[in-house]
Amino acid sequence: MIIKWFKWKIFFLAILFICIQMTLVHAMAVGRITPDLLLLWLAFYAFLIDYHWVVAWAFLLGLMKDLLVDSHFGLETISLIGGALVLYQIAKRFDRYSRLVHLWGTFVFCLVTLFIFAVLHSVVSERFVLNQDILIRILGITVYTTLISPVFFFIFRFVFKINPKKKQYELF
Amino acid sequence: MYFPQTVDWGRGVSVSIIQPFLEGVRALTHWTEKQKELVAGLFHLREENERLTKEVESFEQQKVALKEAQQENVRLRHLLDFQRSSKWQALSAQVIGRDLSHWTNDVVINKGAQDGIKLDMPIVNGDGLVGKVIQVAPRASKVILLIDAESRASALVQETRDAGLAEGDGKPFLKMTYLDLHSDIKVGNTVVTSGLGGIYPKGIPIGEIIQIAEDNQKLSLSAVVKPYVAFSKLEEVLCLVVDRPNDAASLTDSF
Repeated sequence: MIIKWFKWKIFFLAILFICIQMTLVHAMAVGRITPDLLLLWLAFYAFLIDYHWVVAWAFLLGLMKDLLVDSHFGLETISLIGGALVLYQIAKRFDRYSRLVHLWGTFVFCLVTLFIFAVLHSVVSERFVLNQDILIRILGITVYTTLISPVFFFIFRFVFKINPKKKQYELF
Repeated sequence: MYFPQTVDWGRGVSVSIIQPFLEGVRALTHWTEKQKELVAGLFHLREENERLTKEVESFEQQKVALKEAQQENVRLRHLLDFQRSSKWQALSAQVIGRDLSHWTNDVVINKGAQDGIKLDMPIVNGDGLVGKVIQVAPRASKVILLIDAESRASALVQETRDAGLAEGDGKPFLKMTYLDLHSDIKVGNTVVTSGLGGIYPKGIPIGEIIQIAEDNQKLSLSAVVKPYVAFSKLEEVLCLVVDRPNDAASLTDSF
């Protein structure tokens, strides 16, 4: 049985983003700060594709990330689900086609996801201390990801041929 | 890592699945870089002189390709020097992917179990110690870098022979702990592996001491070590085949 929310195109794009995150994104690093394409992808999915299933995708992507990262298993999944729940509420309660909402929604989503991960990681790993350095890094990654989000949203829109205005009219 | 075997197995499988994609992206990157340099070269030619003939254009293109090959040659020669001077067999590998998470420091290399890579194999490059293998898939492996928070290596200061532990904490520098309070270590001293841990052979260069301080309890000294390896620029590495690391002879003379 094919699950209703599962789309192969989206799945393969997610794998592509994982590969890009592991290779090309490191060329965009400012110091040790790199943007997070997977978070951008989930934000785009919630705002412009279908926010109802964003938590399910967050679970799947988190699981994939957990399998590829040598950290405590499950932390990536939990933090992505936590962030996706916030993202779901933002997409549901606000005008999800507004560019301003995209910006601050992406910012909040990234911040929450990275913060949840850092807190959980500091709880399970004695060598990971949630200090000022980590908090600054979280903020740096969040700001960087948010700043490049308009460019990626533009590319995603082009790829998926999404016209937000058109969709908005369909509501009435 | 204390995870169930199924998770380790799952991680091995996932690295195998993603390896062809990473190879593809890497090939694409190389191609793009070559094209970029080619275009830059052409622009340069156009601006420089319109009198240049097609023959010269082809020379310029060759020059770009040669430059790339030359740089690669220098890096590989550096690795080869290391391989010749060391007493262990080494397998060369290329870095095809980097860490996916913001909080870990690891790389994926294009050699796996089928090429003879084993768990805990020390990884080096021409500059010094890089890390060790933590996951092995048939055609790719994952290497934890020395600067990762979970990474530790038994080390000693080459000049004073003081032993300690070189630890990563996710930052670009290493911390060397448990040094004798009365040791004569100085800024600029070289830190090498001591071979005591049983994983890394003795004498592989790690880095240079840039700062010394007493620890919080004032029972020992700790030092900040600047690694010789540029971890953000890793391209080619060597996997050392060390059968009995504890009995391995010193590499110190080689450097």
